[in-house]
Amino acid sequence: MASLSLKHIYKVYDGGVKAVNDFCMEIEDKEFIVFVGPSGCGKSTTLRMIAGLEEITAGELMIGDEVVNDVEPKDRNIAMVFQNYALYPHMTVRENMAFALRLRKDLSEEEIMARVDEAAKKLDIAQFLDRKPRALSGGQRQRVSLGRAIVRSPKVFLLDEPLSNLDAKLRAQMRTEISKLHKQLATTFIYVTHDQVEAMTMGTRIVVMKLGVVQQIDTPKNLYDYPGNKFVAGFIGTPQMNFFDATLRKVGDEVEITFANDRKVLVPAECLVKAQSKYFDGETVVTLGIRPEDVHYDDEFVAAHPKTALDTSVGIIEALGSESIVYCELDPNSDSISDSGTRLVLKVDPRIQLSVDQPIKVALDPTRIHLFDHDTEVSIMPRVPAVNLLQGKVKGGKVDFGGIKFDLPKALALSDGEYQFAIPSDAFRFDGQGANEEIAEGDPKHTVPFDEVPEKYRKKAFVGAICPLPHSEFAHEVPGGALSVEVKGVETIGKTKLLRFDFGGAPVFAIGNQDFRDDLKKINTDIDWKKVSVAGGEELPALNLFNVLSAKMDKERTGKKDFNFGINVEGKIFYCTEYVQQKLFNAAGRKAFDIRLDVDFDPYSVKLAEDGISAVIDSIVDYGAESFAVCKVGDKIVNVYLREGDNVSAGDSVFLALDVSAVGIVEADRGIRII
Amino acid sequence: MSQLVSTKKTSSIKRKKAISKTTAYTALTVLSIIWIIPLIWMIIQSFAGPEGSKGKLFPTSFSFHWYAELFTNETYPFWRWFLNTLVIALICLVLSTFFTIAMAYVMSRYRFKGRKKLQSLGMILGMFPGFMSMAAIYYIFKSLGMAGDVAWWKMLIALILVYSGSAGLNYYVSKGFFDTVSKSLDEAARIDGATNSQVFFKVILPLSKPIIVYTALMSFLGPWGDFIFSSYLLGNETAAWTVAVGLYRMITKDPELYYNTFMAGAVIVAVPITALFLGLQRFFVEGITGGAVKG
Repeated sequence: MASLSLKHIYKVYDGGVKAVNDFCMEIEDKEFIVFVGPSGCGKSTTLRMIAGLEEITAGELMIGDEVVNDVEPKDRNIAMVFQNYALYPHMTVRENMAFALRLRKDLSEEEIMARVDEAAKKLDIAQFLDRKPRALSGGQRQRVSLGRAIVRSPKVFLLDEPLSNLDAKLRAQMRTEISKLHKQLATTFIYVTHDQVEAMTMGTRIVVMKLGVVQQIDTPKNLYDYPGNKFVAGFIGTPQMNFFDATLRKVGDEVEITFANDRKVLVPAECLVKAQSKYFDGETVVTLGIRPEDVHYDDEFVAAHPKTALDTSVGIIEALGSESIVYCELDPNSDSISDSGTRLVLKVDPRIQLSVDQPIKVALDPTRIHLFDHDTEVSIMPRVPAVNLLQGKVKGGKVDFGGIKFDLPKALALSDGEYQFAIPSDAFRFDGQGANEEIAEGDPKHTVPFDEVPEKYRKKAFVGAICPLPHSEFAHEVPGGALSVEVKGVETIGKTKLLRFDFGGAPVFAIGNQDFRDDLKKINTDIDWKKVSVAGGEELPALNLFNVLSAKMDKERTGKKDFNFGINVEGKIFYCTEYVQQKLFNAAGRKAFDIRLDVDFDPYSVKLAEDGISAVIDSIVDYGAESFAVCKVGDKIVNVYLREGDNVSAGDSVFLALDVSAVGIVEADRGIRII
Repeated sequence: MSQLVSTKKTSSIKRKKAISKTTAYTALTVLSIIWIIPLIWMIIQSFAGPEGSKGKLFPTSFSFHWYAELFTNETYPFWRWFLNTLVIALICLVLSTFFTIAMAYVMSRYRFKGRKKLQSLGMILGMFPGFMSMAAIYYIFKSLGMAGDVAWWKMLIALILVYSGSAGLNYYVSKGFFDTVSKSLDEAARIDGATNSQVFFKVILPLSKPIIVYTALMSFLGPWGDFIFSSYLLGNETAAWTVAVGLYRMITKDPELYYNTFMAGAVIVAVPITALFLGLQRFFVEGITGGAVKG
């Protein structure tokens, strides 16, 4: 019974191949997590890294509260079930199950036998206890291997494709049994499979992976209903989702969708309200996805949705008994056998008689349409929209979004006119929310334990080296908002609340505090202008919140075996805290002093100080409640949050101190995040 | 009509099969007779009467005379050689088998720097005939006081070291076996809490009976029949000789006198090997990994 935490886990092989790339996940106690993906996606490697059978190249793996990167498999308190069972063939079932307990040496033989008997009863293998594995069938063997895991009562159960070697019927049966076992044992399960049916039916949450990269982590239902990209959409669900190239154009309250061969359907704009408006230009090609069960062939539905109806003809019929899968072709010149991009697959009631080449009329369910960017394949109408595109009229230092007026800060001194504003959904401030926030905001939000540099590392100082300032020195206030705005709706998505505003007819989404009430009607808000970019007439980018400087690890001998370790950031050495030191050595070993590092941090994790990285202030940007200094360090730009008492102006030379407990460190050449 | 044709075809296939089978069996029978004749002849000669049988195809009378002669002759103490050889071979059996199996397991399972290079070095060294190093080995042992004019038991220890010292180089057959044992067994054991040595002794070794038996037989056969190394290292001390050295010296010294004694000795030498093989044979056949993993 334990939670797991995987932070920036990498597996990089000698040739530089990244089998697992920046895997981040928090697994809660008693969850049933399924890793799913095509072969070679890194799911088994990740599992084996959790088990301790595979070394972790970089990153941090925690089981419970303990970092276990360098802990032996046997001391991680985990149990693993292998695809090929891996039973000890020379031992009986009883000996197999008792093997681990006997090695522990702290249990009496009676106790061991009691545990074995109990597990055997649970798995219904009591009658085979004195047989050898070779006298058992595949299903029985897999039960024994589950039993071998159970008797140890581990904190975490790892299962590596345990059902792949079983036949279809047995697999379905074992599937329910493993789910039952999970409920009985109430521990954390991590299950690897390439079978999406197993993933959908067993997991409380699913991790979809592709080529070592996590595509999406969500509950089975959310994964099915809100796929984050085209890969997830196509991977989950059989037959797979239909994909078409299409263009979108807004026509009044409706959106006109034009398919490749000039077929058109109209869907209510409300159905695509979360889609980014820049795609509605009638030219940008997007990928439209719709699941086979959301294409309907029944007269009632087609009659009710005349605007999304399409004429087509039946190509191939696959009668599966419980349902029929019909392959149609939208382009009459193409056959429906090859996947030409105009093929439409739908599920039909098997009692409906259809014949090949019969013309039919089908209708798309407009509420179940998925849209993806054609090139990046990322969903353009995610559940939590990333950005709101708004037209605003600027007049006299104020911006008017359809009647809702905000004061523009000095940093956005626009001349009067009409502009397009890109306002991220997390750029809304609410009164009282998150005031005095401890963790610096911005992306990425890294927090690592800060520890004072121990005395022994300071015996002889590096020339000009400085001790990092504690995290508390970097605290800052987050301003609230004062403008009262009407709330049109509150949607709970996972742990966030998505607020919907209406700015003069244009829907606006804002990520709110998770303890907002669902019946919220009005709220005081303001826009965090540093995150907003402006286009049209004048182009103003958002403030860069992701500062990057190059760095290197340095050492200095202070005694026979004593060293000072420091990070040399642009010529200034900061003493390494033990945490940073450990991470660097773990990731790079003896090469730690040779590799190039990139240190990244947000503007709140850096401050003006008496000693530090020397920089020259290029300009000051004033966002009203907050202002920032744009500093030049060599040829790099660093944005620094200005705190009370920082009286500086453009052209001043200053020193910058970093909050070492909030910086991220990336190995520059291999692109591996170390912290 | 078609019925007729097909019958014709079947019969011609049958005839072809019969011919090829007959040819194969005839060839095999001839070969086995050729192989077994010297053996049988040797056994017959060893049972010749006291008058001896040198120069004759068959002895004129039969007795155990030459066996008695073999074990009672004081110039050439055969029982002593037999014991020497048996002790050496048994010790080598244990040592060499352990070295070979351990080396093979490490090469199969562990990944460390220089593994590939070490493997090919072993292969290359193994290709040189062992006797190339004979002179060097002799002088090394001489400087250590274990060869030349020293006590007989020191020479025997030297022989054991020679035979088992290089055993690790013959790892590749066993490595091939370990490569076929699923790695997930090691991993399962490791997760179950076994240390490296527990994985080896408790999980892998019990599964490796066929290869252990093969290695043990090979480790026994080498020292048991070796002539070159032992004749070079053991010198003129009769008490230290092994059967191969002793029997050879005996027959070259006086072929007339010791002809039938030699034959009796040769038969006796074959007994332990045959016994060992018969005893261990069943492990060769029995595959034990069944049921470990799907396959």
